[in-house]
Amino acid sequence: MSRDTQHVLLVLVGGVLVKIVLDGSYLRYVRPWSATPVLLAGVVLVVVAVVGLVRDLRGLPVGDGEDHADHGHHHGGPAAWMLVLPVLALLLVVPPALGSAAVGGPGARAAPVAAAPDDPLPPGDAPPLGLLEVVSRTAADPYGLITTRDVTLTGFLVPARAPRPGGTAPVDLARLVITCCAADASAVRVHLADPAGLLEGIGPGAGDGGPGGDPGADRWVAVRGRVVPGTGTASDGHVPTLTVTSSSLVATPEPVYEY
Amino acid sequence: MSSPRPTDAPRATWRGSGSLVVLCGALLAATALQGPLVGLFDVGVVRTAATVFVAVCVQALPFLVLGTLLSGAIAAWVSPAALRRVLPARPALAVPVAGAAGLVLPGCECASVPVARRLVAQGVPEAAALAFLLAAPAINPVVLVATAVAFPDHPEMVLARLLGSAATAVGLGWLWSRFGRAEWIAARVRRPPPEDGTPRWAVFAETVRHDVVDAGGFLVLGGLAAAVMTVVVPQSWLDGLAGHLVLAVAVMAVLAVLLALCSEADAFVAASLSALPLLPRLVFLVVGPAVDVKLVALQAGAFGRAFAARFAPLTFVVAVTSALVAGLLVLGGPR
Repeated sequence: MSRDTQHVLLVLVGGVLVKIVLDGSYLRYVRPWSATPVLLAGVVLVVVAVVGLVRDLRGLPVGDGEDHADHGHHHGGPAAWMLVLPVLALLLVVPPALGSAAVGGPGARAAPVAAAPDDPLPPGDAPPLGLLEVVSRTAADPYGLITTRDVTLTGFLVPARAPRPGGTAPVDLARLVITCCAADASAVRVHLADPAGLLEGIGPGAGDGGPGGDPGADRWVAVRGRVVPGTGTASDGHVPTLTVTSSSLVATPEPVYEY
Repeated sequence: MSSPRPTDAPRATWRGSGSLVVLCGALLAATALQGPLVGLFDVGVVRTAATVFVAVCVQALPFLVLGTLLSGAIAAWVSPAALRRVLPARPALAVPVAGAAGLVLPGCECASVPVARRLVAQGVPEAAALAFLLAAPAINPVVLVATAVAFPDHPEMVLARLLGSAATAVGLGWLWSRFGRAEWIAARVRRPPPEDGTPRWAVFAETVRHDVVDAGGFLVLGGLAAAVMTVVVPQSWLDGLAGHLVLAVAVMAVLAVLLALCSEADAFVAASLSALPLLPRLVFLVVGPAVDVKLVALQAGAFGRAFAARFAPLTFVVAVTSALVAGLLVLGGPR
């Protein structure tokens, strides 16, 4: 690969890094705090490419200690061409955030459950909570404060891992948790008990396609309900059961992951 | 776009334009085929793999750039003589000192590869540079805190991980100083920047540019491998391992290589596998930052394939052994 091509490629790689931060799509891949490092890395790549380009055009020596007599083919080697792939993926395809396909599919993991202290719940009627927080609270105390109030949870629907008796809908509410980037995503689930049949007809989204919906899109819902006391312990795999009192379809939340 | 430089033979100029034409052609073709390409990515498993691939690249590129910035700064402003003054002359002592330097540098594995390569270029003994390469991503403060957060009920995992990773880095450095051969590392690594009057900032910019191009392609290759492994490694590998300690250790060691997780994140993944005893999970944490598919690709790019072919298997064996010894000492058994 020639130096000119390297300059162009680095400007492209740096450019897509800046682009995904500016248009917010970086949240599909990494955590919010990565915005600054990704943006800075993109700017650095563009700057060093422009510096190299300007010095080449002015005929200045390269100054990296390499032997440039065979200019044009030993540099970078064929592997450098691989840098085209993330550029193409981010310019043309922009892979979507992980969703139910990653929960049900191979390599799916359950999120680590750290027992969280049973602090008072946020004020208000049915305060919104993260799924990871609910699961952590029930892991600490399956009869704690979380079982005494209604809460609102937002997640996507997936087929229940193990349907349970007692009028429960065969669906779980799930959310993906990431630590560094989407490669370490793991799933956190809450089983939905639905005695009133509120979720009938709202199946898991993956693959079936809603009316006017994008086939394969996840079905995001906000459910209101109360955690059944005594669930969410090691015996049910830290999947608490929530008795649903109301639910509504919602748009994909921003950010799409929990952290 | 070919540059009218005096060193450019006409053939080189043509070749330069040639690769640019290929690049533009590939971009144009991909743009024209955008519809079918997007359709191809709409199948569940492929979509997951594509997202994981891009995520690994987006997550790792800033760390790689950080590493190349350090590398460029060393090339431009830290003379080989200054490095010799800092490090003990005897390799047996230089190895633990370089390993301890990794303790204070919060870097991902992607950042430490270009830095280690630059240290070798500046005349640091290879064994010491390799000890730094293994120590920096594994035992820096960020990783240790992440491990403590991920294992709130087992604070001894932090100490076990620190011991296992330090033993891996220092042990491998000593092994390399005893048995390593200079010719295993590609000769191009050892060329210091020339004293031809190029301004220091230009040496810095050019080193960064050159290191990113060199390492970036290998990083993408590693990310691709990790993404494929994430979707093809069956979940059933982990089911039913709880009762088989030896098998669990082996599977977790191999998984650490295949999944190529960031060292800041792997503790949380290990913590989630709560059905397994602590020992196999410790092996996962010690092996991962030392050797994984992404790192092997980066090392092959930085030091040459002959190096990676020897270093990776050796690191794997040393890391598994160190983790087992540290586990027996600190955890007092498989647990």
